[in-house]
Parts: sequence; C-alpha cells; structure tokens
Amino acid sequence: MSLQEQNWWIFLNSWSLAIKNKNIDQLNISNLIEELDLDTNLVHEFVNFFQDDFNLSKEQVVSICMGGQCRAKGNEKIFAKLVDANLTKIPEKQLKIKPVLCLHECDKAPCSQYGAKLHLGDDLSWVERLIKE
Amino acid sequence: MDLSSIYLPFRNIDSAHFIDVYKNHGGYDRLASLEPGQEILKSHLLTRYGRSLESYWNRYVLPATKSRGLLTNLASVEPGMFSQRRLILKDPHGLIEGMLLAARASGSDQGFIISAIDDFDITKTIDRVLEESYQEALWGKNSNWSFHFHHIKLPKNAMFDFDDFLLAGLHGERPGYPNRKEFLQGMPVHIHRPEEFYAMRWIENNSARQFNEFGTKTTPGSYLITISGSVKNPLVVEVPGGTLIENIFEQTGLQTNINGGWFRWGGVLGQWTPWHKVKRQQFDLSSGLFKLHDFQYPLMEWFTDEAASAAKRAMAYYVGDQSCGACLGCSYATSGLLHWKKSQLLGLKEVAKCSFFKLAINASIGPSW
Ligand code: FES
Repeated sequence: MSLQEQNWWIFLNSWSLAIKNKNIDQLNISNLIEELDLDTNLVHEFVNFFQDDFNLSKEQVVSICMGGQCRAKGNEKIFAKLVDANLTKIPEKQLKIKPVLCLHECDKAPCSQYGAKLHLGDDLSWVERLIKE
Repeated sequence: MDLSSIYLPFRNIDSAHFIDVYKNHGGYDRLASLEPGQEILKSHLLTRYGRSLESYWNRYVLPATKSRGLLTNLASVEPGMFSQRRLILKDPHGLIEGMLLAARASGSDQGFIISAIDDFDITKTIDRVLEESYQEALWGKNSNWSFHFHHIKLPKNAMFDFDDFLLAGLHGERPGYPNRKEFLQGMPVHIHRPEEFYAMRWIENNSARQFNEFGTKTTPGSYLITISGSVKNPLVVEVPGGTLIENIFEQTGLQTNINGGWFRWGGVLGQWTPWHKVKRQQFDLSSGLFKLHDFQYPLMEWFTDEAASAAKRAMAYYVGDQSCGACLGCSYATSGLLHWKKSQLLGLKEVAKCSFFKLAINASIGPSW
C-alpha cells in the first residue's frame, strides 16, 4: 500500500472513531487534511456525502427496515402510521423517520430501530408508545 | 469439531472465536501440513456464476511470479441475509483459516477483507483475529511464507455486493463513490463470498471426495443457504446439491401441499417463479434457474401473493437507492421502477448497459406491484 493510501485509511479510521464516539462535530477535518497530505476536494466530497447519515442525533431517529422480509411482515404499514402521526405533532416533538435497506435481523422481522434499541418481531407496543409521546 | 456441519463445525465449542480455543480444537492445523490447499484444488465446490473453483481461479492466465489476491466483502448491503454476520462473529478464525488455505491453493499472496466502517462488531472482531493470527506467525513478515492481509473499512452505503461493480468502485472507475481509492492497484483478485472460505476449510480438513459426495454430479457438495420470506421459521441451512425445493422449505414450517405463492431465488435482485412450478425441482446451482448472477446471493424465499408484492416494492426501493447514477437512463428508470409498464421495462432492458439495470428489470417481472 502506498503512503498516500495508508494516510487515507488513517483518515477513515479517525472519521469512523468520531462517529462511534458521537463527536463527529469535533473532528478537525482541515487539520487532518494537512497532517496527512490528503486531497481536500476528495475529503470534503466524502464527508459531505455521508453527512446526512451521521449528523442526526441518533436518539431521535426511527429507522424502519424497508427490506423485503420486513415489508412482507408489515413494516410498510408501520412506516405510514408513524409518518401520519408525525404530521399531527408540533415540530419540536417530531421524529426523524428513516427507511433503511436492511437491519440484518431479517429472521425476526418486522425490524425497526429507535435510538440504539432494535425492535424485532410482532410486539408493536413501542409504535403506540412513540405515537403517544 | 462437529464434522456434520461444513460451515459451522465449531458451533458447539465455547469461545472458539479466540485463537487458543480454536487451535486447541484443531484450528489452523492444516496450514502446517506439507502442501496445504491440495484438497481444495480437488474439490468441485461451485463458486461465482455457478463455476467450479478451478475454472474461476484459472480465468486469468498469470505467470507464477505475478501477485494476485483474494477478496471477501463483509460490508455489502444484502437484504435478507442475516446469516453472514452471525457466522463471522461466531467463528471469525474460520474465515481467516479458509482464506489462508485458499491462498495456498490459488497461489495468492494478498488477502483483502472489506468491512463496513460503521459495523463496529465486525470490524473489531476482524481486527482482533487478524492481530491474533499475525502474532502466531500464520501470515505476515514473521511467517514462513509470503502472505499479507489488508482489512479495508469502507462506509456501508457506498458498497455494493461482491462483484465487478464493487471492484470498479474500489478501483475508482465508478462514479458516485466518493471514497474511491485505487488500493488494488490493478491486481487480479479472486472474489468469494465469506461462507465459501468456511467450506474450503472443511474440505481441506476432511477431503474433497467427502464434500463432492454430498451433492450431485452437476452440483457437488453442500451450500449454505438462507431460507426466508412469508415462512414461519426463517433459517439458515446447508443444502446438498439435488435436494427438492419443497423439502428445503418443509424445515421452515411450509407445508408441502401448498401450491400458491411465489418463489424467489437470489435475493433482492433474484428471479421470481410461481411456487407450483419450482417446488418439485431439484436444487442445482450450476444451471438454469439456480445459477447466481452478479448482485445475487444465496437467499431462497417463498411469499404469499400479497407479501410478494411488498417484497417487490422493497426491491424497487433498493434499486433506486443503490443505482450508481453512472448513466442517466439507469438512475431515472431504476428510481421509478414500479411506474413502468411491462412492455416499457422490456424495452429499457434492451438498451441497458450494465448488468445491475438488466437484473433490476428482470426482478420487476413476476408478482404484481
Ligand atoms: S429485511 Fe428487514 S432486517 Fe433484513
């Protein structure tokens, strides 16, 4: 691997660590570009591309699996229900409802994730709770 | 070691994910033999596109001195495949041992493991097992042969599957991937699904003949398949070539007298067939319906009519999300797949330039939306 490539992986590692530790805002991208002699455009293109995925505070995101197994077992209705309920809430109370491709727990479908917690299977009491909140 | 399982022989051994326990139960033993990899070369394990290992590895005519690599992608977004991560987390050294044995058999001197940067369980586990095996001098500068592993962590949503599409992205040839890097430097690589390396470990530790005898002449051996859909108990099974499809599904609680519904093989971009047409067929990876193409993976599903429509809508969403946008027609057509009429879809297929688009069109024929 060339030095340039190694530096890119070092950057990616710092970036992923920052995501893991939820302090992506504090990552000093410009310093890293300088220290590692990276291509500024490439780094910004990369960071911007994934910004939406990681900028949101995970606590407020409801990820609904829209994969085949989960749709087949009812997630389309759950998604619609949450979107409708959101419309009746004041903006500060609204949730970010995000469709995702697969949560890799397909044998326990339907699957969703709210914050760090995975909701698997037929017990949908969490949906009702969220709607009432 | 439980020899009745090809893919998870360590399933009943506690803590086999640590190298000391793994080695105490015979793990990595074959690497110390005189010529590791010989049994793998004799096996008829079917790999990408239903090809035998031998024909897949020999597709390059390369001088022995030319460097080549093995690559496995753990980062792909494959709806329905809950099995892969679990297999790797349970027995991560199996992947490393399988890759090392495959490297001996194929003459590779580099191994690339791609994982999703935000899948911390997997990246941590792979980092640990690579470190453990390096310390044991199974590869790297202290070992008595030349082999190096590279663990490449990339963002999950910039990855697609395990084939040329991914490679093109990794080579920086595919637009829409801001993380493009030419880390492979044009090196020829053999790409395998992770579970294939587990099969290679079993073959090497037992015998190619035993493996081949599990199946039929056209599909020798036994393959790890995820069974899912509208069935009561989705599961992961080892399926010998030649098994009747309805018998595979019986294990999930699907009764053999059911004739309705739809069958899909190959995952989200798989092909739809009415269940009654396929249930009495034999599982044969080498030809026809069961041959896996680009972007397809070993997932077998049965859906009720209603659920099949939902699964197809999931496919349309997936295709719109994953379309690379390299050509306007593709990104335009794939993101609105369900609005096209069948005749229009067939027309689009004719002008499609990439296999992703063609498969998406194929996958949109079958149950109604
Ligand atoms: S399809 Fe929903 S978790 Fe995989």
